Amino acid sequence: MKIKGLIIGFTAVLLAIYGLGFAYISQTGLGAIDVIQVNNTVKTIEKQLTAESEGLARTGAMDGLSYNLVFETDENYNAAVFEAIKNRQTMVDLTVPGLSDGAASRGKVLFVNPENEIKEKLLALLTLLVLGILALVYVTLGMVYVWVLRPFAVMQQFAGKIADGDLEFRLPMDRGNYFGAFTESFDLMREELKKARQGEYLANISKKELVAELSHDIKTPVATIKAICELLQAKLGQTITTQTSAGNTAIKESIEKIAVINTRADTIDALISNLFQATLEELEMLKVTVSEQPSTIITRMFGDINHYGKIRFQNAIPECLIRCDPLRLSQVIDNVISNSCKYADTFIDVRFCIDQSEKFLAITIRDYGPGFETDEGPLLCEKFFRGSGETIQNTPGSGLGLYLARQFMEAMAGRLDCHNNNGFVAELHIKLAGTPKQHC
Amino acid sequence: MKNTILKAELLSKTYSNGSIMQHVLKNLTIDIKAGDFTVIMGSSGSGKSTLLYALSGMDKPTLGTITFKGQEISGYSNDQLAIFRRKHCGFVFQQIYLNETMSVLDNIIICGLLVSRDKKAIAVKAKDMLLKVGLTAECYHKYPSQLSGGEAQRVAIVRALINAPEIVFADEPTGALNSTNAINVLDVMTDVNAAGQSVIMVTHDIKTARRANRILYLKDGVIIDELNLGIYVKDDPERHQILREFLESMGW
Repeated sequence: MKIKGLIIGFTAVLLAIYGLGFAYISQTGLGAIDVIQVNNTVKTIEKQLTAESEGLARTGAMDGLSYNLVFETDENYNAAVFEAIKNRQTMVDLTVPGLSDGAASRGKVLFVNPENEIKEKLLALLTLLVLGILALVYVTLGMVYVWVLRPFAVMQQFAGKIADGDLEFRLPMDRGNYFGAFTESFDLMREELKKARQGEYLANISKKELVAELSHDIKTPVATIKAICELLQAKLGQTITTQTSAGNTAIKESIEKIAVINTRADTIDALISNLFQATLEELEMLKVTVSEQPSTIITRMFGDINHYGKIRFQNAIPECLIRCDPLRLSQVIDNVISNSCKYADTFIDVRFCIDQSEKFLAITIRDYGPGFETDEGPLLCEKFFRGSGETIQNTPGSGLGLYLARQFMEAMAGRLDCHNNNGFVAELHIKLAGTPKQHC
Repeated sequence: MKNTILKAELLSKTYSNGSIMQHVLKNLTIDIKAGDFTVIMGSSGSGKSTLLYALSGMDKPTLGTITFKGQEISGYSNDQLAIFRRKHCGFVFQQIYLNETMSVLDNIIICGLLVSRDKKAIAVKAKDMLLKVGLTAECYHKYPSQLSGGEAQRVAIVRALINAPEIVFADEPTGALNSTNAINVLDVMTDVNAAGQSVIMVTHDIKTARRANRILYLKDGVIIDELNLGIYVKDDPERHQILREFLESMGW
C-alpha cells in the first residue's frame, strides 16, 4: 500500500509540474520581432515589386522572417487582415507606385509570428521529458517490487501456511530470487518441522498400538484365571458332600473367595475391553459396518446379557428392519446395561418405540438407581469421564463405556441420549430402513 | 369415509441366499380402503410383485404385520392362509394360468366349488358373468388354447370373481395383451371396482395406472410417494397429465 501511495504521489507531483510549465509557456510572450529587419524586408519587397511589377510570389521568407503579401485589390483582403490581427501577427503597410495600371498599389506585408511555433516545440519537449521521467521511475519501482518486495510477500504467505500446519507447502526458489540462501533456510526449517511432526505421529501410533496389544494380551491370562476359578468352584463343589462339616465350611469359604476372584477378573476383563476399544478407536481401526437387520436381533442381544434376570421388557419389540452393525450395537447395549448393573443394581426396564417423525427405533433403558449429577449430564459420554457420585467413585470403571456407546451409535447414524428420571435413563435411537410409521 | 380393509405395518420381506440377505421390502406401512382401485408402480426389482403377494397372503412377510378387517393374517399358517385367500381374495395374473385341459366354463366352476357345492348355481353365475365381460355362449365349451389372449384373460377375471372376493389382486393383467384386448380387460377391471370390489394391481403401464384412484410408487422396497386421482373418468386428459407428471417426478 505504501509503495502504491508513493507512486501515485510522485505521478501527481510530476503531472502538477507539467501542468504549471504548460500554463507558464502558454501565457508568456516570447521575444519581440526586430523592427529594423521588418522595415528592411518591407523595403526589399517594395523594390522587388517595382522591378518585377508582376509575378512576385505572395508568400516568402527573408532574413529568417516569413511573410505573406495581401493587396487591397484582393478579394479576401479584409479577411486576411482580420485573421492576422487575431493571430497577433506583425503587419506593415506596403506602397508600390507605378504598377501596370499606373496607380499606386497598396497592401500589407503580414509577418508570420514565430511565438506559436516556439511554444509548440517547448510543450512537446516538456511532455517528452515528463513521460521519460515517469517511465524511468515506473521501471525502477517495478524492478524493486519484483526483486525485493515480492520475495518477501511470498515468504509472508509461506510463514502463514507453516503457522497453519501446512507443512507440504514448499517455498518457491528460482534463479531470480534475490534472497536465495535466505529463503532456502526457511524451506529447510519447514522440512525439519515436517520430519518432527511425522516422528511424533509415528511415536503416538506405536504407543497406542502398544496399549492395544497389551490390552489384548492381558485378556488371555484374565480368561485363564476365570476358567481356573470356574474349574475350582466346580471341583470344590463336588467335594463338599464327601467332607466333614468342618471341612465343608472351609471349602465353602474357599468357594466364596474364588467367586470374589472371578468377579474381580470380570471387572478387569471389562476395563481392559473398554481400554482396548478406546485405543483402537483412536487408531481409527474400529470398523462399523452398517447393514439392514431385523429388529428381532435386539431381543437376542438383551437375552445374552440378562444373566441375573434383571431386565424387564415393557413391550414387545416392533418387528422392522433397522440399520446397524450387530456387533457394535450389542456392545452398546452391553455397556449401557453393565453400567446400570454396576451403579444401580435395580431392575432395568426396557421399552421399544418407533419414532414416526425421525424414523428411528427408540429403545429406552431405565434403571432405578441414583442416576448422575445433573450438571454432569453433558460430560457423561466424554472419554474417561466418571461421575462424582459416591456409588460411581466406589465402583471400578474406566469412563469409556458410554463414550464408546455414543461413538458406535453415531457411526450407525443413530444417537444415544442420557438423562435422569427417577434413575438413569439411556435412549438408543437406531435408524430404520425405509419409511415406517408410528408403532407405539 | 371408507373403511380400511387391508393394512400392512412395518412390512419387510427378506430373501436369503446363504449369507447374502436381500431386503426386497423395507418397513412398508400402507392401508387399503374398501372399494379402492389401488395401483402399485415402480421400476423392475423395486418390490411391487413381492408386496402384492405379501398383501394377498400368497407369501409370508419376514417382518411386520398384515391385518385384514382388523384380523392379523401375517401370523397365519399355510392352511389358514389358503382358506383366507379362498374366501376373500381373487387373483389375476399376467400369465393367465387357465387349466388347459378344461373348458372355459369348467375352469370357472372348479374355482366356485372351493366355496360352494352347488355346481348348477355356480354355472349359472359363471355364464352370467361371462356375458358381462363380453363372452357369449360360444365360448363356454372352448378350451383356453382356442381363445385369444384378451378372451382368456377375461375368463381368468371371471374365475377370480366367481366367489365374490372382497379384494381382487392383479399382477400385470394386461402385460401380455395387445392394446385392444388390454382395453377390454381394463374395462372389465374398472367395472369390477365400480361394483364395489377393491382392486390392487401391479403395472408398468401408464394407461393401466390411470384407471386407479390411488397410485403407490415403490423404489428399493420403500413407498416413496403416492397419488390420489379420484374416481376414474374416461377420456380425461387432465387426469393423464397429472399422473404423467407424478411419474416423471418419481423418476419413472
